[in-house]
Amino acid sequence: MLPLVNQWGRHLDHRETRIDVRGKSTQVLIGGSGPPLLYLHGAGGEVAWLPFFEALAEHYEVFVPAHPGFAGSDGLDQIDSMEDLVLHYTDLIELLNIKQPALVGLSLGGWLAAEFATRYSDRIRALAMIAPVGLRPPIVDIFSASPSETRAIVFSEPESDLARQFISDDPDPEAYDNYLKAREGTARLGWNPYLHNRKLEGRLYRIKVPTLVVAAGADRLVPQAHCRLYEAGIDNAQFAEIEGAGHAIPFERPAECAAVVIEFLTGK
Amino acid sequence: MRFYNFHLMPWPDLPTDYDDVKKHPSAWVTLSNSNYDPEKGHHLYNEYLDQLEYAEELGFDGVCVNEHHQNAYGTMPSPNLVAAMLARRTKRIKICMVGNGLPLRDHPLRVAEEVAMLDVVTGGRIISGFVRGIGDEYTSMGVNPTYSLERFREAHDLIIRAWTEDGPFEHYGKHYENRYVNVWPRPIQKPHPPIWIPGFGSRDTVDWCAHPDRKYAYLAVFMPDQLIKMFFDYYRERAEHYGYTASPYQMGHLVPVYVAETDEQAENEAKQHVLWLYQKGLRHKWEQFFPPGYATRDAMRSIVEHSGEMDFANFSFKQLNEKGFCIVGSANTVRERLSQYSNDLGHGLVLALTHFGDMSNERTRGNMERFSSEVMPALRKEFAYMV
Repeated sequence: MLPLVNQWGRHLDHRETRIDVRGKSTQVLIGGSGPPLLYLHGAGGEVAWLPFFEALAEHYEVFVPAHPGFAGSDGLDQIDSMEDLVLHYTDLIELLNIKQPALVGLSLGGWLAAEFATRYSDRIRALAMIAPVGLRPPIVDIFSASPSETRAIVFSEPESDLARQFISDDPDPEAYDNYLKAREGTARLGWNPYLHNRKLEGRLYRIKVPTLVVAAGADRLVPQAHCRLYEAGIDNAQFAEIEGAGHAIPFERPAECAAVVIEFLTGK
Repeated sequence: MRFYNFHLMPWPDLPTDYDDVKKHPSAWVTLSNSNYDPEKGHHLYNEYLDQLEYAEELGFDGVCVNEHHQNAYGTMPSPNLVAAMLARRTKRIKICMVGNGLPLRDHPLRVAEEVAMLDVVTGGRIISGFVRGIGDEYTSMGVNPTYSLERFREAHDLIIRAWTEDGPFEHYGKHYENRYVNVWPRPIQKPHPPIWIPGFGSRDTVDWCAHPDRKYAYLAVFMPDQLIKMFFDYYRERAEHYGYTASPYQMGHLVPVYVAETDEQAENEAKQHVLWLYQKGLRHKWEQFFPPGYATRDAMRSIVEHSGEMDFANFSFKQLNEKGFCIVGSANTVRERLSQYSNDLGHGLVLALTHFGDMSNERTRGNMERFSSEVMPALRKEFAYMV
């Protein structure tokens, strides 16, 4: 579970907006220019202008919304399933007037992106899933993990300053609140069945857009075989591995991860 | 004042390296059931049930059983099963289930049916407690904790309607749907069996219990006395706010009690069992004790703030006894402390946990005997004004 990180955001160029999505007050960060790119965050609720977004923003107009119930968004009471969340994003895309965005999702957001693409492939330009969950239960229980155990699951160097910036043992009140929200929002979607949908694998054939799966070489939550299942199920999907990276690839290796995504999208 | 003999039916035999907290972070969820020996369990269950039946002979007003899942702390997965075993082996005492873990059940109508059946069979000796279940049990039972409170409220409302309204009627809620709600049998007590709600520290729960539609007894469970006072005062305050004065029987105190000849002997005999309860049986992994969304964010902030007062894993026996996590001493000491508690806190329901941890059958029965003969009568006399 990753608390909101805002200490990196100060000097980076972006703006924040709030939009009413059918009664759900929704926080959205926007930065950069170019074709639209919609980022779907992971279980940590990383809605802060991170170096990864900054790198993408050099080529794209990057939209980073908080899912209902996460970070600065409310409306978890309207979300009971991935189905609800997918519909929420069709509404948000319309309200933001984004045309054919590239969809990029990390972990939980990767699963969400896949669920979106199996239903509304025609509304997106391309799909990039980074260490996505969703086809099988992850191999360890993140809901039972303490902050330090969570760092050990999602970061390759759990005691680094970077890992501690994302997941603190002693968070300030705002970070603690975001931690609780992220935990609850994630559990709402993925408590049981644990962060997966057994029907999703059989639906992957419906994804008709260029797709990239990015796997972390040293992922302790989602094994590479899981990323390979996505690759195998989607026509012409590309596969990339970031060697040595932990599950939280875009936080650990922002430049490298962004380069892989940009290279994929540029070719499309 | 009324006295209830509470039982948890713990599994006493923990792994020999259980003191290694890293290896055994919890008595719940992950502690392997390979530690459970059914042959010994056969003897233990029957010993425990005999103790509960003995409570009737000793003059308690009732016995209390409860529901816990997949743990060593308490081996009663269904309070209704235990109540059923006691229903025809006892004749007089109240049988209190405190309580059924409503959100953990697939359907509340099973609870409505079973409790009503017990009430009819016993001729109205049932007290029906409802709980949300311990946080860990959402992990054990695969129930989404983010719906815990709303499932509890909806299940409760449906059970009460099923007990009090003529069926069939329809119920289409968010969590439960039924074209035909028509529970047979109906309870014998009118409008329904008394309802008790154990609480761990949410003010919302206190207010909900105190509401005139309910007037449910609120039970303070394993709390230090200053916290109990805060919650009981709040109960009375809400009752006044709603325009009535709360009865002492709307508040109960669940506490481990041990009586011996002298304070010193009581301490020597009870100490290891008290520490078993608080440091072994109640050992939880924090993230499992408070799973996502189980408590509101406001409640979580307050829990973190008060966590020092509830840090019983790190309290010595002396501290536990002084803070009110247990009442251990001679009959005189226990009597005086219970009297002082009831005078200070104003409650009329005393739920004495007379067996706890790895206490032997012999020691337990002796404790029950001394408590019932040397403590209860004087307190009944002193608090005779509570009617």
